[in-house]
Amino acid sequence: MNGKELHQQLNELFEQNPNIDELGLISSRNSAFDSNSAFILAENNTKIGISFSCITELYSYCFNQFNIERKKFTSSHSDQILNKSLDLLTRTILFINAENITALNIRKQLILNGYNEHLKEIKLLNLIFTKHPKSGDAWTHRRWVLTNYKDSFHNKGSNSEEQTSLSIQDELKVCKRVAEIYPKNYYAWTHRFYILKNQPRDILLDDLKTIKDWINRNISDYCGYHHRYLIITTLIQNDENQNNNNNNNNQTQKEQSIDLLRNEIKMIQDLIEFYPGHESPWNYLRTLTRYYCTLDIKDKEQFLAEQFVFTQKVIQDRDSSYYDKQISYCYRYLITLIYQLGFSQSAEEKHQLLNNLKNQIPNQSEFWEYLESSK
Amino acid sequence: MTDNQLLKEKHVEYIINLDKKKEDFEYWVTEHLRMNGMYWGLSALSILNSIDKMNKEETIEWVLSCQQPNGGFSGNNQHDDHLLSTLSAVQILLQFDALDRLNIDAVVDYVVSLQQPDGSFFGDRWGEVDTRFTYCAVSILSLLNKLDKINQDKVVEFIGKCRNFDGGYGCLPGAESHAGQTFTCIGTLAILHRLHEIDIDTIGWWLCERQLPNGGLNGRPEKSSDVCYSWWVLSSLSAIDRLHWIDQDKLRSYIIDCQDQETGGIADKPQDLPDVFHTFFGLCGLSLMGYYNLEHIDPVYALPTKTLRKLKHLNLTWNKH
Ligand SMILES: [Zn+2]
Repeated sequence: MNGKELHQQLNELFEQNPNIDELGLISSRNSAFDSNSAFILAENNTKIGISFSCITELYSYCFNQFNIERKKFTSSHSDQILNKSLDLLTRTILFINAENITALNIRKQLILNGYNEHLKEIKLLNLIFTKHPKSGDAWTHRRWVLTNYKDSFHNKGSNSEEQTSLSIQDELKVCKRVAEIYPKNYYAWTHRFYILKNQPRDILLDDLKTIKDWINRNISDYCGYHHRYLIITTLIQNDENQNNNNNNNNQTQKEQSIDLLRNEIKMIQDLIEFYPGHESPWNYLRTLTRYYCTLDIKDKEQFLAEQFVFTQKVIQDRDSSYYDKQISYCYRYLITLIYQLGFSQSAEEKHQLLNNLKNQIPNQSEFWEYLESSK
Repeated sequence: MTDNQLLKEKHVEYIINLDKKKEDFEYWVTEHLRMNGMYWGLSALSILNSIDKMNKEETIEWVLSCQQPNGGFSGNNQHDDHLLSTLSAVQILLQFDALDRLNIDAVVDYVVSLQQPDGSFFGDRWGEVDTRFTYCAVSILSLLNKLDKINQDKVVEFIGKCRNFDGGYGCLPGAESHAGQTFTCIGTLAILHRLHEIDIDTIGWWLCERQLPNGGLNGRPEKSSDVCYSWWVLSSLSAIDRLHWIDQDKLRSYIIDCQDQETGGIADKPQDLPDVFHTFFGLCGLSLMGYYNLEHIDPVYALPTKTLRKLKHLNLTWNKH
């Protein structure tokens, strides 16, 4: 089959099976393929696989044809046959290469000229993410579609509340699913907070609950912790902004937010003891502690003393099978308490700590030396 | 393998043969990045003192053919413009000493039109914001001596909003610290002569924590090491004069282990397949650390220092070479 026939066959498969929600590129040595078939459907025709052996043929045809037809495309007058053809060509291109920004841009224009619907585009992107979860350009395109969708509601003057809140839940679901396909996925988590950042308090609190479960299953993925940090600091910041607008009733809510932060610190300490030897929760604890000390709080000394007690407890817990790693992260945390946040220790103790670090983390000897000389 | 030998000739061979494999799948899924790829390849050859191995006239013609009517450059002939490819185009022309053939005003207008009221930059007319685009814009304008055309204070203000508590920077305000984004933000501040805005101890510490026991560097906590961070992390450390905070000998060995002994080229990790991106950044790392008599690369502009020295309007305060 040549590229044109392959493209047509793929289009037919999608027409016959509108519920396809997963995409894969499959090496043709896979036994599920007989040697003639370029595409395979599975699980009640909801998953599609494209044989790797036909991909160059298919892609090069679609890309060349796309470039020919793109020249005829203008935003001023709309030719439905051309629109349809560009829609299908760019779809196949993106199945194989989700970073082709020129194809993504034509798809934006197909939305602007009314040929494609926003929600249909989001659905297509969900499918593309099952194969290309780390495509930054596809995530960018998604944000454009969402922004344009919101704007188009505003322009019509209609009340968009119901529509947008529906799509928030959908967006959060997709972010979570993609974060699970590909751990430490920077794009998915950046997108998640982009969706949430201007949402009301209860939605933010809900998300905190959702992600609690997630980090218990992804101890070494810093993305989840950073997301929690963003939610908690956003809540505290929002309270402060409201306070400045002299809203006196807000005092209790502000205390609740600070409690949230204290509980978070406690929660992460428990996690560190339960799953020893992971850098991410330790880094998160360090960030939370630094943040806490920037707030206008009275018990800073007491708080630092408690943190110190925690480190001593960890250092004494020699049973852990990851003791070496655990202890080096613990020393690092102590450095933050002492050198950055001003927890007081004798010169002798500081010297001992830096010596320990030189043994535990020799790569950074120069940095420990620097701290020693800077006092 | 353990003798720490850099396979200079093989790497040159690897790079000059890259463009000849048009039947491959790889060619089709990377052709939209050709402008970046050309910059990586050419600059790698510069580091290896072999820029004359590239067909100069043909390359210049092709680069110029990618300038779009709005002044920006596309990643290849058949594509849309973007700031990322526009910076690569300028960097290529500069290394060939061919900026006089460029429609400079059109490029400057293009870049200036993408700045937003909050100081950030769109990557193209579709409106995505990212600190990478800020770096591209600032680097382009500074190379062309047109920084006065944008609001620089606003740029600095926006970069400040992308800073996190660990000292690192993300792609947007609030986004997680990432070594690649940290490079773009520190680079931007350096070009604008605002390095004093940086909390050097905190970011320097976060950066040197990126070195793993195997000597390689990662970009975020608990990610595996990857040769390209020999650039993102190392250049940032170098710009703030803290290169010595990591173990350079160990990093050198890691990069050397990522060489492909057969084909030449450098991979992201030992035993992986090489590519031009990691070949360039691996060489950059070795150059920054001063090994193997390589041509020195500037940690902020990612261009050979000797090329930049020809531009009299630049003041490379962070570069002692
Ligand atoms: Zn890499």
